[in-house]
Amino acid sequence: MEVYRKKLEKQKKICGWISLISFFSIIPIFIICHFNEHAVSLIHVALVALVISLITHSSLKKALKNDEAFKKMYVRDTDERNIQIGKMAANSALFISIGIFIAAAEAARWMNYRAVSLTLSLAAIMVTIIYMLSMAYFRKKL
Amino acid sequence: MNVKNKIQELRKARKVTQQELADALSVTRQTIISLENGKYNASLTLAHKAAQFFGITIEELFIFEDEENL
Repeated sequence: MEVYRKKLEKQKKICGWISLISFFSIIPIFIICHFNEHAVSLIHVALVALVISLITHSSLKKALKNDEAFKKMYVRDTDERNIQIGKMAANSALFISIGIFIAAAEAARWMNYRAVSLTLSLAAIMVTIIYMLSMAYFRKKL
Repeated sequence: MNVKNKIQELRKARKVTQQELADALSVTRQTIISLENGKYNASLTLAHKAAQFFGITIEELFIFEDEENL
């Protein structure tokens, strides 16, 4: 349990840093937006990062202060059935997303959106390559 | 290979609730329910913990169906 507590403390620190960085990056992004309107999407990224990191930070803080909340989180995160469910869900989601990428690329090609079709095809190829590389890495590791 | 277990039988005999067993084994109650229903096979670590909790061996707690047929 002590190892898990240290892990949570580390995650809390990382979340704190991410929220600080995203908070202080909003003003410079606003300035950039005046010169380049495409930078607006960066504000969305910063805001999403800020909200997610703040929510995670507060839940980790609560778990580290309250023993009952800590035990609840420990059981939820280390429960082997939950871990297995997560792995199975991630695996099926990966294959479904590759299929969706390919279908969307084909649809974009059919509608003559060449750049979109190419981007989606490349994304599907990249995801497949990353999956195969990860498999090779973990085969070596285990 | 199908694996059966006597968790529900032993738990009821010792008047232990699913939540108490889950707390003792550091798993969720849903895991205990799945184990009892035979929907989920425990890892070696969890099987060892469960066997220790009931004070029996893993072989006594878990029954391998292939072995039964021998």
